[in-house]
Amino acid sequence: MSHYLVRRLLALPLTLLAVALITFALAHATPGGPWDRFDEKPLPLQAEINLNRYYGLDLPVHEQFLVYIGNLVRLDLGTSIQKGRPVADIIGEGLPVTAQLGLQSLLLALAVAIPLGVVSALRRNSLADHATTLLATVGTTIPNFVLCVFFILYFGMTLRLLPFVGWGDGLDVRRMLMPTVILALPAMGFLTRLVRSSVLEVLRADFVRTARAKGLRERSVLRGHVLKNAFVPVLTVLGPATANLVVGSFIVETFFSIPGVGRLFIQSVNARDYPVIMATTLLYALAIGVANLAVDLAYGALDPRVKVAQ
Amino acid sequence: MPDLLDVKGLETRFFTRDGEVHAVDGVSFRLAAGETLGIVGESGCGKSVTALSLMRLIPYPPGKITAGTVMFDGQDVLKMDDDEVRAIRGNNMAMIFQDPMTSLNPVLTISRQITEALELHLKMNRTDARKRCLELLEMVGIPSAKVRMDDYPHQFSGGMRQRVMIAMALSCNPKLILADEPTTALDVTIQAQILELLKKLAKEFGTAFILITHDLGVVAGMTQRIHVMYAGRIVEKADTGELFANPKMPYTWGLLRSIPRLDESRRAKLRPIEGLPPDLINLPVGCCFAARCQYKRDVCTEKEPELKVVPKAKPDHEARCWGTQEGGWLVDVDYRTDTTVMAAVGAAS
Amino acid sequence: MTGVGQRSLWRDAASRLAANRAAMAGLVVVALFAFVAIAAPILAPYDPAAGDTRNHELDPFWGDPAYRSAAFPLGTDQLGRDVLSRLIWSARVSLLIGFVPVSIIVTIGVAVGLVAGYYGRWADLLLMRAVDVIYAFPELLFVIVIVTAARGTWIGELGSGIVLIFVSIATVSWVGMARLVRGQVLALRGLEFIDAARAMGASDRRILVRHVLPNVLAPVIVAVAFGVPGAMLTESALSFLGIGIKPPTPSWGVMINEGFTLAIQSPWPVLMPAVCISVVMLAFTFLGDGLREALDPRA
Repeated sequence: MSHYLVRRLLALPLTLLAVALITFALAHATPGGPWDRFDEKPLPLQAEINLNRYYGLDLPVHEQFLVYIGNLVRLDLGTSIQKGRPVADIIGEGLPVTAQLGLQSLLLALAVAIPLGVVSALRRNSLADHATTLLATVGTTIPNFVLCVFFILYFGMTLRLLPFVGWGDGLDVRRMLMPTVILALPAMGFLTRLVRSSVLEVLRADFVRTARAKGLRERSVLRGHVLKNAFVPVLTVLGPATANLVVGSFIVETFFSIPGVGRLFIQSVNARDYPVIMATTLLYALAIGVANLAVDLAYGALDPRVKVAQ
Repeated sequence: MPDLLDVKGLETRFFTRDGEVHAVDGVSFRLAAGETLGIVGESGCGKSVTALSLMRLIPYPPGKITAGTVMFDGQDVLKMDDDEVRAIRGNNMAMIFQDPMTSLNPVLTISRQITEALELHLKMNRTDARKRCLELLEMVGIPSAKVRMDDYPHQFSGGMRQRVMIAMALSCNPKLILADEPTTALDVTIQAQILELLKKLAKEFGTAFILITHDLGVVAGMTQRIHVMYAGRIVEKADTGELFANPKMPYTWGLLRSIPRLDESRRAKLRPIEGLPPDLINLPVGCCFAARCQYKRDVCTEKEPELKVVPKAKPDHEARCWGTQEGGWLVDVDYRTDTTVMAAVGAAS
Repeated sequence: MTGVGQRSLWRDAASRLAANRAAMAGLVVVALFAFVAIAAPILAPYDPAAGDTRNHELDPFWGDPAYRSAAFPLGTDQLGRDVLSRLIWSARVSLLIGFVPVSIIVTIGVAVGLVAGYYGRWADLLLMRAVDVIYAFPELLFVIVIVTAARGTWIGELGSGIVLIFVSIATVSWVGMARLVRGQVLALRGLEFIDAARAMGASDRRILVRHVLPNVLAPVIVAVAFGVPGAMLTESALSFLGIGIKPPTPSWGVMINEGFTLAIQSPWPVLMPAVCISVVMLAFTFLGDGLREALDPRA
């Protein structure tokens, strides 16, 4: 393994620490606590003191942080203030759902975008190409929550074609269809445009002319010389794509009442349930960090020039 | 012996938003088996497009071969279907490109890029193809080829990559190699080595080659004949020695004057050709070099001269110039001692 | 690079943009949107925050004749507020959200990017560390964390929460702009005309302002064209999630949030803001794509 990857691997915990520090500081530098309610009677003072002691909120902030990190290393994520249960348990329930949703959306996006982008590039300036580009632009541009509105109102409420509440057991295809497609659409649009421009760029390269001069069939030129080169930029955006899926999952899970980490995060934000906010934020940073790392690994396998550069 | 290559009236155009570019405009020439030919001209004169047209590698759109015949080994390349052309490309007719940095696929090993053609055209299996690949790489002088054959292009220097390109071109033992500015992107010290290698191997293999360059100095010791191109047409054809000794076209004179020479006194100035080549979308009436020619007369801007055998020269020496043709005003002029030009240049500077 | 060459470069870009029909259509929609936002007090027939529950959930003019009223052409929401007026005032919120944070981002980002790229050293080091952290997770997530922390404070109350959104977006997004400018400056610094200017005795300030700045302008313009709708999108997502603009101030996100639970009975109060967001976002995308193609013909 190269130095570069080792360095990246070591940098990941440091990034996580920075993320934890920022979230923690933001949570504690501002007035107002989890016991504040806009609409309810304030808690009796003694109750608040007891609660603070129970959750360790009576310690100085820097000690709270050290305690938190100490617990974190032992994989103890604390207790949810809103739900009164261990955060690790709550996340453990939501994670498989969110992971499945995110993964199948990403796969769907790739499965559609790659062939569509390649065909679009090969039939450049045809009607099909223009239509694909337009659809891809629309797909990337319309925000997730607006898509949710359109899909739920039309397919769910008007046509009564698909259910739009909950997730089921992860095998219920009809129930998963709308959230998966909606989460996939922006990535699909973006990737289609990227694959198209990337293939077009490679088709113009000198080495493609060399391949043609060897007498290869157009199909062999495409398969042997164009695609591998064209996928390098596609791979680099898979890291940021993961980040976008994370953000999309907040919206989609909230709209469809899917019991995943995204909805959990939004619920905890609304309730200022800091143990959960901290844990989900760290989980996201970890997921994105790991995705970026995986992309780097795959990058070296796809493009031999990278190994030397590292 | 019948000709290996017989090009007649080749015409290639590019259809752009600004208009039709007449990149190659009625080019005709012949080449015997094993013969070597240099095509010389400034950039944009149509020499690369000519080479790509012979292999039907002109990107369409915007480019298209609009007229002519290219008889290669008794068959018209321009009338072949796609499969027939592919069977020739890389097999009977191979090409070496200008920039070895970008002409090799960065994500494939050197060996893969050579064996590909062997497997395709010679129907070799992987093992035989690799064996042959190793031989080829050793032949073009890649040190420790056995180890290096599975390296990637970026691990090679420019000169080494061009050697790989030569190995690739020779791999299927072609009858003709088209070398398009093969040394332009390389260091001067490497240029000579690569040219020497190309010449030596072509001779060993009995391969005919066309060397395309903007530099008359490069073809001097390389090819038997030279054709000079300007504005998409051939303006002078001659044996190499004859062309250097007795050029018959003011454009060629200009090219020769712009080569630095060791045998001239240091006071002799290099004289570049003034002006720019004509716009290939709106070609001028008459001789296309007239606008830059110091010797032009009225006839030059009225009617285009044909490519004709010229007097006071070897019998297969042709030029496209009113002045040097039979009865012209330049028949007896020696461009090296011509004082009228010297005076004109002196006055200008 | 300044003077004639620069000017004709911009003129070329403008004519390329004018020839792009999608971009021009986008520009028209964006202009219309800006006009509606600015003229909201004149255009809106009612107070967007006040409703009369006697007229609640009226259909728009193409709806059921028994449940519509000529007085409310686009109908009313569940509190009897005029949907048209709320849509119009939401445009005003969106415009503010689109332009205020982006102005802050451009000011800070360009300044920091120029300094980091041109002088390098610690400024550069600091910027790149900030980039590392900010890029460790998505911008919206960061914005949500900041908004959550500060929502209960005095700043969260300013302008129905709009100021907090300005601050949060700006805090997170200036880094991306600074990184873009830094990259451009690094690429420019190696070019000869900068050396030439320095050789002629130009001061650093003069080089930065007269030579570097005009050359980083094109990518900055493109980034702004995408940053404005990006900020608007962040606001509507936050408002939809219930942590953005505080009701009763209308915003398209707020309207979707409030109307969604009643979407089965009356879908229009949800659909219309959704359509507005889509149209404005598409318009900005077409304009932004057009600008990018016009300013960078190689792409």
